[in-house]
Amino acid sequence: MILSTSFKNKIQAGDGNKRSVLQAMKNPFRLAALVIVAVVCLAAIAGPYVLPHDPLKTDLSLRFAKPSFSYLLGNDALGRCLFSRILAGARTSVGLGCMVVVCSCFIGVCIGLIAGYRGGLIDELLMRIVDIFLSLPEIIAAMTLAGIMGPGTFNLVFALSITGWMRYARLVRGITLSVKEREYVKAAWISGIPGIVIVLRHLLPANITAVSVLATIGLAKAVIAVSALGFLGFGVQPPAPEWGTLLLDGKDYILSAPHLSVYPGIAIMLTALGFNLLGDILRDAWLTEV
Amino acid sequence: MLRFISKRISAAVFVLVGASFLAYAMMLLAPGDASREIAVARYGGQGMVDQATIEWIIKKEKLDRPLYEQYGRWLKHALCLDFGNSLVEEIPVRELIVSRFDRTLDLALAAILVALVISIPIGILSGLRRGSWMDSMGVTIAVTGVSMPNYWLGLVLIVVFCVKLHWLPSFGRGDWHHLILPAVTLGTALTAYTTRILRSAVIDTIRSEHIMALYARGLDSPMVLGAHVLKNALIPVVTVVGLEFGMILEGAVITETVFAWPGLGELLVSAVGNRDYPLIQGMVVFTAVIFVGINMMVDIICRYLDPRIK
Repeated sequence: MILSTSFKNKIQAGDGNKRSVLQAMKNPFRLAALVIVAVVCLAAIAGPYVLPHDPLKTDLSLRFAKPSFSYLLGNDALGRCLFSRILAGARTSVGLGCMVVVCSCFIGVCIGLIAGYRGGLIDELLMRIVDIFLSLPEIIAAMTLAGIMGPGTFNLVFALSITGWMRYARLVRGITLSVKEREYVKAAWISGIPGIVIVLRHLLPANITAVSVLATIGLAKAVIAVSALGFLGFGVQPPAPEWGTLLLDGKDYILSAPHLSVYPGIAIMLTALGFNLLGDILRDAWLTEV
Repeated sequence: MLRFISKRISAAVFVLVGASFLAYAMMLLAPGDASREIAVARYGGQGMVDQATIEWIIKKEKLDRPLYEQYGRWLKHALCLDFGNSLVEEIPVRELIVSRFDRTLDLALAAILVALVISIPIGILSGLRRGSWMDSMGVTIAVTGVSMPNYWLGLVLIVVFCVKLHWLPSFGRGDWHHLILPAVTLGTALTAYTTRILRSAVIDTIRSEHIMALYARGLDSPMVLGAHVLKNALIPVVTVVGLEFGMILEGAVITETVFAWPGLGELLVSAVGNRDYPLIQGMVVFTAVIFVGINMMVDIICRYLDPRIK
């Protein structure tokens, strides 16, 4: 089905010249991407320990305060420190994004391996299931599911993973099908090695680089999707600091205090940009022959 | 060709039946009891609903029957385009969808126009002049556009063009001025995507042997470019515009919320917010039909344009 080409194009959109990650440092854009990714990861891990203020503490005397030395990005409608909220939101948004990527990767890799390895009827059946899941646009399905199931971390991650595993399954199936024909796999087969060992020792490792590239790009998408659901009101619920929820809070004051929605958006965009570019770097470094 | 078309259609029908089942089964994941939910939606607060009403609803809606039977009955009605009545507005789901559809279509067409007008020149130039400043600009635009969340872009556009410059209206629907900002918001991600695909298609095409052979025969470049490179490079763009419909339907949900544009996306958001199950099911199936149908047509067109595609 045609949907698979979109992903292939994404993976193959590189220009075919193999470049190492180190070489990528010479390009200012790519160096910037690595720096962004490092900063975002640091913020997600250490952010909650170095907050200048409590992100949930309201102070009505500071409503809509302008940025100052002590409140770097100003204060929101309830006088909460915007900088602290964005910093605390890094863990929520990026953390949830990581969980979504890990879950959808896991489902996709399992299904892809089974389909590619078993082939035949099972492959056909699994790929038709993939087609069915792909027929519902991702955000729409995730939003509906998250909305129906109600708020909660598990529901959010479930909704986004169950609507996002298909591209991993397609990728892994394709690679597995071609690797299965290689001599070393056939040799293992002839030596009487059990199927499960062949899958885990020989077929799975062949997929790791391509899946990592897709997962890096997928993380950018997942962070945007988590915040999109937060923004629509079906994701993380206020007052918990999450970038999409911060945007939703700020939206009502867009005319009087635009900075409340501009800064969280910049955080989302830089994160997505960083991981998208990192995905490009990894693709150029690892994946020229796919 | 006929065989291909019929195979493609039967695959699409199979996928849609599966999708309708997903749309139906989604409702089972709702917390709480379906009959109570319906009762609360129809008759207001929790306190107004007694056990007798709930049992009456279970009987009337046949909620005590097995799942496959309920789904079968729902599907039978859905095939006749009857998705039941909206729980909140008490009018048929079909009418609600039809009344909103043309507004989203306006937005979608405007967004595709924006995307094509920007991305075709940039994509071709950055593909032809690979490594030049134009190329780095094209690539930067592509990556930035993909990374920019459109809910945020919409808000920023409102701040710049409505609040600061007072050039354009911010919310709602009216003449074409109202269409500009939502279309740009929705079109940005598509622009990025199309630019990227077009660039790599052009790069692939100029590297291919038949183009080299044409140059070797001494044909001048504009001729080769127009008649051979572009013709081949535009095939993926057809594919992409088809795929973009999925992105547009997704993007419309968010863009319409930001700009209070009364289209399908906005309807879906409020339906999910109200837990208006018949409306949600109807809309999910409707988006799946549009998405699968357009992809099927794109497949057939691509096959016609380039018989090598399998």
